[in-house]
Amino acid sequence: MWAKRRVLTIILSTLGVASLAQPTAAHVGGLSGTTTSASVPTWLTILTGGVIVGASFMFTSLMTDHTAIRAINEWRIVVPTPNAVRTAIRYAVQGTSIGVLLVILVTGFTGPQTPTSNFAILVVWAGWWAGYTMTVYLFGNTWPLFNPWRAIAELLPSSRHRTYPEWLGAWPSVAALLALVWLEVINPVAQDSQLLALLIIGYSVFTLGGAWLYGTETWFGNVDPISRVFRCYGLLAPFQRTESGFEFKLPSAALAERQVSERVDETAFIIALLWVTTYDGFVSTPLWTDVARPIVGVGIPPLLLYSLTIIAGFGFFYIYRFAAHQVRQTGRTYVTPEFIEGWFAPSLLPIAAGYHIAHFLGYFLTLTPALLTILSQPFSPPVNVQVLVLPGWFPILQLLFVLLGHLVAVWVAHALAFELFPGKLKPIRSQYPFIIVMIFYTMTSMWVVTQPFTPPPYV
Amino acid sequence: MTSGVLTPETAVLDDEPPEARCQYCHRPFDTGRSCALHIGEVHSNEWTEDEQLAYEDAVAAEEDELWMYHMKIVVGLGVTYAIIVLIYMIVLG
Ligand SMILES: [Zn+2]
Repeated sequence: MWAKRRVLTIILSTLGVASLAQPTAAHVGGLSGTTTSASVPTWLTILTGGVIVGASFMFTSLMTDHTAIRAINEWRIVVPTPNAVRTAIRYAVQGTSIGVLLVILVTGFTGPQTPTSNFAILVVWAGWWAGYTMTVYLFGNTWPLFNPWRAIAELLPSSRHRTYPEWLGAWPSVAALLALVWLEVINPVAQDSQLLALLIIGYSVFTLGGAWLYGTETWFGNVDPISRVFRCYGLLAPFQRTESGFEFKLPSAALAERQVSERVDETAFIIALLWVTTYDGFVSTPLWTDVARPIVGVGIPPLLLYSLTIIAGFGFFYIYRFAAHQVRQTGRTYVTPEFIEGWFAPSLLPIAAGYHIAHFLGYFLTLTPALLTILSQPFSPPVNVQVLVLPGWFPILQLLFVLLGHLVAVWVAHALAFELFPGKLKPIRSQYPFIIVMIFYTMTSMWVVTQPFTPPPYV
Repeated sequence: MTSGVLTPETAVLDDEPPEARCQYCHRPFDTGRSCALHIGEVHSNEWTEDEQLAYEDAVAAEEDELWMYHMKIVVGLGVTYAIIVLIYMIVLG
């Protein structure tokens, strides 16, 4: 998923459009000095981003009418959905997604080696991880419906031999998410369809085995990292599922209405989700190559270096935790740091989504013509595949998405603070530590996005 | 929040001891004013008349402080904007 820029370079060169490869790779990879407005230097773009996040905090602090804040977040339209309709849709969709999974496996093993002509590669990376994920945070979490593994697990008998240990919570999904992303970065699974098919088989065995042992609900509700990713992203979406059907809300408003403090393992998952999006971008910056080469030169195995980095970056958790501790001072409150850290954790999700869309919208649009072609003829792909060339201003859009994610996060945190702390000044002052962390995170993310794409070395 | 009152986990660590505690949910606060505000926001369906008066006083007192705070924010926004414009003028000029 994160290796897609590598893929694109390869795709374009295999298509023999060498002349196109350079500018398009740069567009998708990020803003290099040549693609952005030449006169505004990168550092100034990044600084501006940081300042906008800081200023937006100042701006929202002018909005202290608790009732108004709540009214915005509570606004909703209920969309009633009859049960019969739901059941009918459910069977149709589940059947289709199991079918698609089978076609992915078959084409993964037997399909052409060119990534843009391979059904498995295109459907998994462009269709599912880029395109489908966007629909989850832009519209609603449909994964419980589409998830083919869930559908299969429900068909299989469940042993229910084991009870899931309560204390494990979301920790296995944190580990599994980091492991999946690590595997993706060190392996060419976005280019090599056979490797991808093997990974899917591995994941299927793990998932179906787990669901068989612990029960479908327990497995997909606790352990499965993909279900949790979509559940998290789904909280941002305007369509939220309720007991009586669906309701339409303002994007991200559901986050501000949580009224619960996430458990520490759930907070860790949100942080992991945020970090893996950054990690993927970071390992394809020139800085990473410059840092990695001497370290590997000293004799550290590259795979170890990549694993240590993904684990070390997860240390952002401690920065966030430190900020939550500081809130006790700036907000002059007796609420525990653990509660504060869990309370504000969902406000980080818009940042992850903003980063995802910044990364994958270009990738998705570029490959959409190829994806549509292959969907109509999975087993007989055409030799010449079309790709879309993005306009020159596209990279600016990417920066705006990163920024937008942070701005929504500031708003959500503001609303959450008003729910937690009394009065008007305390909620505002409580946000200082988080805002400082957010300004730095914005600037880091924007820096990553502006870096020219460099293939991660040694993998 | 009328049915289920939000009671965040609180702890009095090595900080100064709390000056006030909510009589309904025992949440500790650093000042009586914070406590009065909390009671008005969360327990207004069960509060006493004294607490209602204390809440109104606290809101009024906070409004004054908030006005000063907002003035600072507005000035801060203006200064930030001016600095950014200046930087752009220097860099692009
Ligand atoms: Zn209380």
